[in-house]
Amino acid sequence: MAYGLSVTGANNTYQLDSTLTSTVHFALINQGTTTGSNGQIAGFSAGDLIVGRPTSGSGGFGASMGSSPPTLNVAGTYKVFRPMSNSTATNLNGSNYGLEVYNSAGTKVKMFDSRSFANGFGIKKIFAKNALAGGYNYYGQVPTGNIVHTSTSSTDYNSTYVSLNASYWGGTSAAFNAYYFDSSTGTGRILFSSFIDFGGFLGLGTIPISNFSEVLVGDFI
Amino acid sequence: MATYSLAVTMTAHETGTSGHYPIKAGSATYSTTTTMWAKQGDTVTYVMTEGDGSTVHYLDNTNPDPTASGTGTYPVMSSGAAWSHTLTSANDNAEIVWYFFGGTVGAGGGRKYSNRIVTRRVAGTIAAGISSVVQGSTIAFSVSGMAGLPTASGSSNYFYIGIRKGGTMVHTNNTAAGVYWDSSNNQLGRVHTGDTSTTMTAGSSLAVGTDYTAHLYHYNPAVSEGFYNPANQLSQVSFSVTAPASATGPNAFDSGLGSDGTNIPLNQQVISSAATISGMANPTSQTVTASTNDGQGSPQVSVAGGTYATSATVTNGQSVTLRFNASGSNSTTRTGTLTINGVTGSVAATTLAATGGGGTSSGGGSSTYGLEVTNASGSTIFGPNMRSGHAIASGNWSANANSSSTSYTVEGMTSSNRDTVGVLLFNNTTPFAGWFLNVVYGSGSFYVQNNGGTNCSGTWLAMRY
Repeated sequence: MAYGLSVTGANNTYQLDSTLTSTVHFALINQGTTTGSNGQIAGFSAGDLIVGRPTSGSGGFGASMGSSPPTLNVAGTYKVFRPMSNSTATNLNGSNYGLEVYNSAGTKVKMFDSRSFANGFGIKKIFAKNALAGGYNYYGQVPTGNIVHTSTSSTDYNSTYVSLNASYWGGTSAAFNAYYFDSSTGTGRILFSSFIDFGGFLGLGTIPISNFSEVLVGDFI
Repeated sequence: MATYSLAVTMTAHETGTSGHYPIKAGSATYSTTTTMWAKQGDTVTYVMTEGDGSTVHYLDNTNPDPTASGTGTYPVMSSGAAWSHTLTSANDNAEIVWYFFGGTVGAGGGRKYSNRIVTRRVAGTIAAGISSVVQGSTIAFSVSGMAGLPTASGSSNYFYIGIRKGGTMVHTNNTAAGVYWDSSNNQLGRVHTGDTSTTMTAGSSLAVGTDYTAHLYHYNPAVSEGFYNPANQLSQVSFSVTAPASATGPNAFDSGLGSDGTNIPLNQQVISSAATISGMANPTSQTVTASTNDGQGSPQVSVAGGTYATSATVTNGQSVTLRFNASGSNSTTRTGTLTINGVTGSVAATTLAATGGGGTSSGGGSSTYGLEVTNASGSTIFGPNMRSGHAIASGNWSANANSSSTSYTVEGMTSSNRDTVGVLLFNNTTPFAGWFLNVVYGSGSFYVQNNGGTNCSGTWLAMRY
């Protein structure tokens, strides 16, 4: 590169590359908790990344991203991240120093600003399309091919969040790109849960649905 | 012609009292109003024994008279003597009633012993509805010219039909190697004046042969095997038993099920085209069975659009549709097959390659150099050992039924770099259409393939991490 900033992390992971034209770091724009079922997620806009986890215990967990605003099926904690290119995602940590990086788009776009975040989302696992088998994991019955995280400690379990952007929660009849949080196995684990239950219709029964787009699991810091 | 001789011990029923001259029934069950049945030309003989050994007298008030040594109005013979007559075609031979009394005087002044002997001349001609019956199929027999048989009552007053192979009676009944009758539950069919036909089902393993005969018998208590003694035969008819013709067909139907599929999403249900079945014979309806090469995927078949099942019966002209679930593993071919009488039709479904999907990537590492950002708590919120998310692009997508969306530009995307660039895609349509979606990654873009029958749309967020 002739100029700019390119940073590559351990294991050749991407950190920053100012030669890109549309890749922008996320900043935490909102976070909160919901109570009861169908609690609303505040502060989410199209283009945001949302991750979440249930507040406690074991059970099926997912979001209804088609609702406006989106909702969580059970009491949960959520984090909404927004691209730093959005004006609402700047200067969020109160500092007036640090590192600001613009990209090489024709009209430069700020792709990173250390003042814009006081928390991070460290991705621990990425499950590419169809990596997870799916199944009726409303009660966690189908762990094979569906374990997205096995916690090393209760602290690890409680800090682990899953991506919800692709989630649909339809209760016991259907769930896509949803999860089952299992706090009672070991120090906790998280299963992927995605299925359609046709019941007795045409004898179809329950059909597992694999993840038709990527699934992210990570720590909120 | 047959000669029947029946021993009769006279009944102690005094003449001149109510009910005198009671009938001497040939059987209390099968011949309640007849002493003996016989056919024209047969000779019937009754050996009459008087209870006290006295003489036996014939009350000569009917014709024809039995052969007797005595003469006059009351021919008399000693106890144990035979009274005979050969049946002719004369009208008075159709039903012959003879009255006998004994020589012993009864308490009331009459004769202590009395009986009525009834002989009926019977006839009938049996015919078969078909000359050859297939194993497992039926053959009807009917009787014409039925004569001399009173109206059926209980188990009495029937003609019997016995089956012989090469002259040997077939006694096996209600098993595959034997015969079944619609008129009885034993080896003999039955007819009577109210129903002169009966149907026999040849057992599925009844020996084949051209030497079968069906025999129409009358009952006679004077001989052994009284229901099917050859002496009791009124008529007979020949028939054959043959093996069923081998099933043939159907015509090839593989192409009717449609072409194989590739890039099928994991576990997706595959439904074939409907193939019309033809060319089946012996029989024209046969069993169709669904299967897969690995025994998985819940293969089922629907006939004529009906309910799916693992097997069903299909008739010429009907359609069959195969469905099964694709493999749950990437790049795996599962072949579903329908089989009819050994003729197969198959559809193969190959799932998507793991390239661009199916992989798993982990988080950061443990380097001690690079760019790091910490927050006020000292926690690293951005650094070389932490894999952070970066937005690339987002938007809405839509894909009509059985179509693909337009391509959506994603900087840095290739067909195989899911460990660094990916898409979070939400289907905002009916969830029951979501399982037909396939995100197809390419160089610098992706599109959504909608393999279902419902238009779908939603949002997407592309990320680098």
